[in-house]
Amino acid sequence: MALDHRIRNVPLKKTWLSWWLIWAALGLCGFGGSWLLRSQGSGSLASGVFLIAGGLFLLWMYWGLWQARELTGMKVLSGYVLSGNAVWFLVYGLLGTSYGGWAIALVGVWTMATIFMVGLWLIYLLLSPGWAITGVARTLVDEAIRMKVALIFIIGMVLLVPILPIMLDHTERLDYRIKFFLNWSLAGTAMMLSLMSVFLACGSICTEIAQKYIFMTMVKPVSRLQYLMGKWLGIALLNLLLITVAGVGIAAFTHILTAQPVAEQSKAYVERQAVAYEVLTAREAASPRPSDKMDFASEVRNRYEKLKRESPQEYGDKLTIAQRRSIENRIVAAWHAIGPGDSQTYVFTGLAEAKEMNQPLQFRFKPKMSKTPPDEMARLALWVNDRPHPAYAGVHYPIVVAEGNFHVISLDSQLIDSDGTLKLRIANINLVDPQATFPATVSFTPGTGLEILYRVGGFEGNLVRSLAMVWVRLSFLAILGIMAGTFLGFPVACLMSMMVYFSAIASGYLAESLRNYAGYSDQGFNAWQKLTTVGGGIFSNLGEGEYWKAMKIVIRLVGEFFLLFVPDFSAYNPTPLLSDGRLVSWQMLGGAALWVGLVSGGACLFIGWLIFRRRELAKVIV
Amino acid sequence: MTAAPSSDSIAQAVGTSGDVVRCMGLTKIFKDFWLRNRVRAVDKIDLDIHRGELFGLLGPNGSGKSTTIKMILGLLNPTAGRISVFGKRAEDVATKKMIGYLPEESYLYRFLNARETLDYYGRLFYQNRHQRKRRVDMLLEMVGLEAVQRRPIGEYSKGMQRRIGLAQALINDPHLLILDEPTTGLDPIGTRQIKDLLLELKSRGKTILLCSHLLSDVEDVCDRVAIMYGGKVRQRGTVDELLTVQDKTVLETSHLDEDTINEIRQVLIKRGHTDHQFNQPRQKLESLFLDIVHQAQEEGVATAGAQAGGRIAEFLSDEHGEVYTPVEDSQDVLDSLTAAPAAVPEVEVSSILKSEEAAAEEASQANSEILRQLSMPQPQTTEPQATPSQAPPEQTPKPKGPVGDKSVLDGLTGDGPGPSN
Repeated sequence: MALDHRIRNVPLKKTWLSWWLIWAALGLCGFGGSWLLRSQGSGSLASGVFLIAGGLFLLWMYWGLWQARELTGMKVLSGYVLSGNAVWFLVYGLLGTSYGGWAIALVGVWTMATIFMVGLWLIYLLLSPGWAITGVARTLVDEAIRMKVALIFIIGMVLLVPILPIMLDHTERLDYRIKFFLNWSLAGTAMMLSLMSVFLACGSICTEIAQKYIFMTMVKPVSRLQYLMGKWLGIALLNLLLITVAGVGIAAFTHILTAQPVAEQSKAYVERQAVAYEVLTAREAASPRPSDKMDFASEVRNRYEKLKRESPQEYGDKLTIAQRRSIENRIVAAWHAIGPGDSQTYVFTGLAEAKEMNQPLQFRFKPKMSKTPPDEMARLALWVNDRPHPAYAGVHYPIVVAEGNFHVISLDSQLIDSDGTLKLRIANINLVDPQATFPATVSFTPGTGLEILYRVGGFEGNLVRSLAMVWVRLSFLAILGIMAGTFLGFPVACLMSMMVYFSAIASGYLAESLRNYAGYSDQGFNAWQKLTTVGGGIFSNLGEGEYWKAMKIVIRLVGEFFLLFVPDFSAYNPTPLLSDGRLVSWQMLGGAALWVGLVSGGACLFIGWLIFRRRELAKVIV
Repeated sequence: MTAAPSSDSIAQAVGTSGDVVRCMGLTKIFKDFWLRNRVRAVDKIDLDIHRGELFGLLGPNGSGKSTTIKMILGLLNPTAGRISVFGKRAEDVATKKMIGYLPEESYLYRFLNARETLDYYGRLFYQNRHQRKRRVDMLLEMVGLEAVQRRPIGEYSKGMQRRIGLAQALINDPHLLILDEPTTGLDPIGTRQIKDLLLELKSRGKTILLCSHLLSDVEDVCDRVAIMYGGKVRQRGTVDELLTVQDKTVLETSHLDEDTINEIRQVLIKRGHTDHQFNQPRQKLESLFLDIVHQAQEEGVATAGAQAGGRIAEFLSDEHGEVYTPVEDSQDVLDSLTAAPAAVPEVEVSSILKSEEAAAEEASQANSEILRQLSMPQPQTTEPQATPSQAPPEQTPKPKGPVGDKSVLDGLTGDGPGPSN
């Protein structure tokens, strides 16, 4: 072939310069000519020129790629270009049809795969220095890419984000759709990468020991700590890449979803406002608290005295922790409940920042009636800093909202006092006809059922911090898997890591369950007091023949000891915060990095190193 | 980048004893799940490997060879006894910079290709990118895997895996090379190459510990050997010390006719040597095999496997830490091996061209000379040389020179004059 001949006999630079010039000329003349013709009103001619020029442009490009196929990296580039062309042709064909959603998903998959490939190249570049740690890390990345187990998770993750939008119910409110997407895409990504991290970490170490690959590494000048750190670095970098790919996908598809039509055009404005101000935002929340803490303490005391009088057998001279918690919960619940015709004042403090930022406040509440009214609507009256709200022309308008749902009322941030306090009084009353007030108590769930929200940041920043928090958790899982792999076989190491992972997710619930399981109070006790309390409890139960109660104390002890080593993932879960448009703060991220990453991860690494440094790698048990 | 230790630093590490490896009362007992002693794999062995020697560790399967090696490498902790490698503990990471290890099986990542594998091990020695690339290129050429360097190791044959295993053992230009069954799975060409390589490395001052149960491999190349059985060293010494048979004599000469043989026999009987044999020597199977492969290569028969290895990697330094500079006559190993038959035909043709009468006359003269020597009252060890050796006599090669030594190579291929020690 002519070009082949030229490539082989003419200096390479000259040949390729000609090729580039022809390619550029084809592009400029063809597409420019088409544009000019179209601007002159010759639409059909412009289309013809566009098609012919486009065809020639592509053919020339393919020919060039074929001729240069022997050059380094050209096979990868050719594959990328061809797959890209195929995707774009397919998308072009699908966009006008009812499969438009699939076309967007296809573009998403291709884009995410491209970002992954570029990121992978960057990782290889980062790991190119000739150090033992980078060598081990690089090999682990290769292992992950080339071995099927990890690859399945990577492919799954790259497919999950683009396909999820197709599965959404398009008759659903737009803000709900986006919340659903954010929730499941982030949670799904975190779950898949968690599993991948555990399998990869355990699998890499255990397989190397079982298959004796590790001999070849450990007879080189590589310390055991460097080996473990190299493994961790490889997984951490891979997770960072995959988290970035997922993040780009999530951000892109969130914006694509935002531009989608709403289910009901009449509610378009409301839905889009909800998306902008309640989902794609980062809001700080303030919950009300009793105006005086001493009142709360005395209320606990009064209730306890009353309960003691009513059932002296159940309530002794001293409150158990479970009894105290139960009383406190009941007081808080009562404080969040308003009887028919009554009102309650809620004070929100610490809103100086919101006032300073001059952002509108969102009063978010979810009224729940003790009896459902016939029209399922709750009728409330609101005063902000003792002034009726909403009030127009001196008329105080009622708030009529669906019972059992979340509602948001926008408030001016300038209503906040100079000390950052906002006082809301809510009355359970029908303002239009007070006599017609429905005879039921209205209550709000403590915490999220009644709060003031204000914007402190944007969605993108919140997403980045959320992803960073997921990465911290994944990094911990990686080091946990590596630690388990230093002394356990693959299945047991995976089981152990999974057990810790799921315990970490549910650590708050587990701690509460253990406290309730064997109910003794050790609140505020020091170590010695705890020891004597536990020892006394066990022996007194044994002495009374209550063997099972003694056993329950032992079980709680074992459980609490286990939880000592399990980081509290539930405190660092960004998914509900992100999907609800709440701030994932830097403090929260810092806390995750410190406790989950440094403290828990460091402890795992230290334990793993202690075990591994003395392990005889070629040991056989006969 | 960490430079390879200098000759001085090694000498300092080794100390005045000159021992690169010292094992004293080394014992390894493997336990069962309940920590009860079950197998005494190595039992109070003492072992010294001197600097610059090629030491063979022999023994049948399960004799404790590999266990000993793994203790030297720090992969196992001794139950009792002490090991020092370059004057330091076996677990010391710093000593690993000077060691190259080829295990008994391929323990290489199956998902990496040959180039990536060598690059990985180069990184572990803190070699920079340029240095890694240079060494990887040379080693791939040396072991003949250039053409298949992009194929995953998992797709390699056992022999190809041994070759890449050997290459990784040399990536750091080691001062102590530990080879566990290096010729297992290799074809005779590869085996020959490994043996020649070992001799070449030894000539450059490397210390080599060769562990094998293939006796001929060890016999061909080792200076000293230790024979293990049941975890103990049964015997040790130089190859000559161990193998020389003092009470027998082997005579080698060109073909003798029946009359001459009878005359010699008479002389021997007359001198009281009634126990004697006259045999026709055979060509070694190794030589025949190499001839066939060479012929196939000359005919251009395609192969998907390893190709002929190239010359020894240049970066492998000598005992003074200086790198190897190829000289003009330094042909690659296989070329040297296979060049012999190509060069020989000229000699053969010239031999054939000689008249039969001349040949017969030469033979007759030779026979007469032998008889004359034998008939002498005080036999001298002049031509033909009488060497003490094991019976039956055969052309057992005893190469002593470096790769490319034509006399050795010709001897191996059976076309030369044979060994003459």
